[in-house]
Amino acid sequence: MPNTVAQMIFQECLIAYAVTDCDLRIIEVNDPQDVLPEYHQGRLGSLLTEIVPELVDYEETLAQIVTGELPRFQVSWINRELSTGQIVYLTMLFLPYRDQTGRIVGLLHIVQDVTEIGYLEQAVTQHRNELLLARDQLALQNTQLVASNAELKRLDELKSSFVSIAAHELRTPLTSVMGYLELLTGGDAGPLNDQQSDYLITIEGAAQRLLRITNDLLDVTRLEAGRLDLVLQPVDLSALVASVAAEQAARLNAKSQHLSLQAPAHLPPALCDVVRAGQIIGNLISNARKFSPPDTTIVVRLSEAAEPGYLLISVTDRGIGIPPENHAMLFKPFGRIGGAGEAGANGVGLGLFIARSLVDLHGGRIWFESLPHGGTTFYVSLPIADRAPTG
Amino acid sequence: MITLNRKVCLLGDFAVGKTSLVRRFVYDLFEDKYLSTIGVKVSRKVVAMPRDDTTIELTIMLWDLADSQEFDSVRVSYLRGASGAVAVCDITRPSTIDGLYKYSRDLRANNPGAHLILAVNKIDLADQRAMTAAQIEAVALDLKAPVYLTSAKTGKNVDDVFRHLGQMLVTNAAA
Repeated sequence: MPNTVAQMIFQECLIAYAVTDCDLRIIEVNDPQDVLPEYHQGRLGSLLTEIVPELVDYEETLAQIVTGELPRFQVSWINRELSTGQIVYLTMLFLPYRDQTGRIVGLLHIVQDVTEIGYLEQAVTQHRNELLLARDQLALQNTQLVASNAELKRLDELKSSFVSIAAHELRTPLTSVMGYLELLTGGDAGPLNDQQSDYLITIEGAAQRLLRITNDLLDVTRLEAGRLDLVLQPVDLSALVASVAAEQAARLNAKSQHLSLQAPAHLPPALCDVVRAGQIIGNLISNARKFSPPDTTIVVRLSEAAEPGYLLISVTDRGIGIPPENHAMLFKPFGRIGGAGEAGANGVGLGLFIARSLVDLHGGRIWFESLPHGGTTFYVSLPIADRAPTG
Repeated sequence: MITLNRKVCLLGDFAVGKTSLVRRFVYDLFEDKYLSTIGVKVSRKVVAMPRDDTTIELTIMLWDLADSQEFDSVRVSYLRGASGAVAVCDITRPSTIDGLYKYSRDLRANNPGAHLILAVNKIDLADQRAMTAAQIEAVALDLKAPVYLTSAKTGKNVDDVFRHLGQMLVTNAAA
């Protein structure tokens, strides 16, 4: 190969080389592109191992090449940081240098500047490593989330268990209190004067409220644990609403509120658990009653829903409406809305949660429409019981 | 004064902080941004080490090795002639322990007399620690290596790691 061709290859491929004698002393150098600046500083006569820093502790390996024990040796991707901060990448190859008879007379050190491909390789490696780090981070976060979730579940079960036990323990003495109240108000312990009767009525109201709260708490724990079973049967919703209204008559009267039931004739029966459906309707009427001002009418409407196979119950109040910021929390446990106190409402915020859970169990839907100061209407859909075959 | 040149390799998975440890030890600098290394970067640091009644001027050639699988085949050529190595893992990533066993096997297979020291790095990330003291001790015992908890970021124990290794190198050196 003509010398000029070799020079062109060295220049274009950024290749430098040095030839040493068997003592690793440089006897020939070619570095057309400043690939290895040390060559120019060391020049001829220097020891290769002294001028190339990467060769410290490689004396034995280089000696093995010179003696023919090692046919070649390569060190790839050597990073060099220039004074400008720029990184250059070099690949070094060591070969035995032979004379025309084939005898090893020294060592050939070839260095190629592979910076261009090195930058590409670095970029690929960087991206891959960052992805691997992100993957590890995600795996770690996932493990932590699983652990947190398990702990939260454990705490939730602990809470449910506590609430259930506490509610049971409260209900037993409450039953006794209610029993003796009934005896007292019935005159079993002798006649009562007006003041005593008033006091007992107040005590009875408070005891009944406490009983409702404990029953609600028990229902919540059963619903959360999936331990509430329904006994489904055809139920006449008009009769059910009338029954619930009768139960709440005293409380409606106390605020001079009225309940209007609007239902078409021949409405098909709903397929539901009569006790739990009554609880749903009762909670909605109770809610409407609490949030409506005195001397207003609560309207309960029954109809067939737009969705085939379902009946629609709606309960409309004349309350202050539900602010949009409270919509999301409305069906959550203890989701009492702000301003409830202003409207004179009381309760612990379980009624709508229980209603939604029970509607879900029936395979129905519950939703509402509300306008600020324009009242609220709650809607519940329940499945229609199969009609008896005609003919 | 006796002078010695010794090659020391930095071994460990990607992003455990090998380059940062070298940068802290040699230049007393730290860069927070992660920049992956490909191939090898050789740095030099001269330290004075006492031995018996004299002082040895030890030039440590630090070989900061790439950490990816692509470089497995060439790692052996990098390891040739190494007198010692710092095996580095990341205290926030327990998986970085696994590779240390392979790296130490490769080191000792190529350089039977090489000394090894373990650096459990990134201890500044206290709230993200994912290794227990018992785990770390067990790894050090398995690798038969002294262990240091280090932070290239704060500089904690970084000099101690290299000085301890330097002491091991000069104690057994025949110079």
